[in-house]
Amino acid sequence: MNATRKKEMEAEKEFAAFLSKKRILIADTQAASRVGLSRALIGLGARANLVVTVDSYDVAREFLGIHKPHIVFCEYDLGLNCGLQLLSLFREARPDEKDTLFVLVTGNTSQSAVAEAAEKDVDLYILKPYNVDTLRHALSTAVKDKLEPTDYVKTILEGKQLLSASKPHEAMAVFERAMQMSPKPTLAYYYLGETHRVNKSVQIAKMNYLRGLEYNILHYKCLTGLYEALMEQGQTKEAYNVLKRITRYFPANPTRLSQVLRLAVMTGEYEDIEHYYEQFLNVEKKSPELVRHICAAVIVTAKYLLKKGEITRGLKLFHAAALTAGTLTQFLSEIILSLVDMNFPEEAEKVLKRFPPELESSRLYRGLDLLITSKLSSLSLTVSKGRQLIREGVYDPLVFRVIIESSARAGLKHSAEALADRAAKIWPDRKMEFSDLATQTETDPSYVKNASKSAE
Amino acid sequence: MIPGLLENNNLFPLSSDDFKSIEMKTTFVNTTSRTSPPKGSEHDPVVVQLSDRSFALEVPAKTCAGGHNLMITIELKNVNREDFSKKVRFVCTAKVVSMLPLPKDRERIIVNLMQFDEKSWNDFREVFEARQKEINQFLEACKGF
Repeated sequence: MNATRKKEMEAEKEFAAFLSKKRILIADTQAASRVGLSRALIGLGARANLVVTVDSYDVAREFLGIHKPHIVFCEYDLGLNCGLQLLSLFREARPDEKDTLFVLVTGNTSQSAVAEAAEKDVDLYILKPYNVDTLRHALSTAVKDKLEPTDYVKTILEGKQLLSASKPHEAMAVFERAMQMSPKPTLAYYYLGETHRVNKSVQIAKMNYLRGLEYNILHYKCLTGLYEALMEQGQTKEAYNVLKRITRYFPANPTRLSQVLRLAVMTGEYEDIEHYYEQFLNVEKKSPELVRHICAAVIVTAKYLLKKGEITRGLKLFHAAALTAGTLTQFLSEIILSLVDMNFPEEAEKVLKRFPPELESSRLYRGLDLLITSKLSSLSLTVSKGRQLIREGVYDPLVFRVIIESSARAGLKHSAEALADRAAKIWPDRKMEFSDLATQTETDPSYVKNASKSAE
Repeated sequence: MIPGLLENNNLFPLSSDDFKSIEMKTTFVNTTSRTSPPKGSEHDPVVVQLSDRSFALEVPAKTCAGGHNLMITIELKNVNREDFSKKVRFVCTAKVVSMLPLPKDRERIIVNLMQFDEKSWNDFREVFEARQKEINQFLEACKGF
């Protein structure tokens, strides 16, 4: 037997010995996958009575909490849940990472799933269908890396401990030593950067993240460290460019997408937002927070485009925002008000139709309806409709605004002023606003002339 | 300094391709019993494990037995991230050598390849091996060890 084969056999023995002592959880909705993986692991040395298979996220979560397995294999797609959600629970249950593994075994080959797994720092990502030899090799390498880390990794871990123990100067020295141990010491630069940030030297921290990225542009920790340093320094444009890069490599993180949207609006990069909206449409699990951020960002962008004269694009975005808003009436209202303000009452009317039927008797809906009526119908109809609403007790600032303005335009100054007084009693902080509407709105001469003719 | 890192760039995190996964559609005809599994995606066979000259599938129960010959067709879509229109098709005749009952009227079978095109088989396996390699490299780069 040659030396290489002998070494391989020793490694296999060590790996089998490692596996034999570990409690293993396999979570997969597919029975054949659970059985296959369980058999494969037992064949590699795991003890059958220590391998547990479950077919749902909830059962897996419960098992994790009670039995604290050393190794978890799970599918990315676990019904309504994502297997990655188990990772944080796993790390809580087993904070000592040295002899634990979290492995995704999945048919999901999408870059978004892979990037998400990388962000969350899984140990392995194994594709289905896998070859058992490939699985063995991947697992044994991962175990070896953990149990016999390189000098570089050992030194980084030493530095991390010093940093956690609030010994930044000692930590810095250790990370600088680590840099000599690797041809691509990106991680050492990251931790050195973190140490400087802890010491409030954000500029030096930033330089270290940048140095680290020169060796490896994909390094997630350096990219996020750099982003945070730039934000701390108020360099929002640069932070936005870095964040775009992070989001490109690690797409579909809803929290990150919210940050990107916020920064895009802050830095005036409205045209990017259309692209982000397309990405949002692909996000499977849209959190309410993400929906709100995207609606707000898309509305701001739509306004910007209309002001720029890009009517088709702007209107398309307004309608996209309305569709995304669903039943979030505060956004529907904002869209309608903006469209009316920018002279697109017909488009506003289309958006009004998106209100849930059960809200059509609400003050908000009726106020918006009156506003649109004031733009699309005659003054007399608007005044008449507005008066009806007030008789019915629909006391909404918007209703009063519309009817005061419409009355003033119709030449009904006394009526307008009386309404303004009445509104001011209900909303005293808006007294000036109502009064200005009553007194400064110009009369519509054509209406007054026709009204006089009718009177004659 | 890395060009374009801090300055404005044309990077847009918008590629819907990032959400595409390799799609595998497996069908078979039991040439021994001259039957096929019922139609409908809930009955579709699923390949779960590969070896050099065999593979494991999850199939509807009672669609085959030990020793039966199956003509299996596997079609892969979205196989190449540079060109998502590329497809791979693998057709073979295989013999059922092992069966294990599973819950919910399913079975796990292992089949040995009998008649197949070597190149097609290699192309089929290469799809997953290549993607696995890409994933390993990506994870390594992200962690930076």
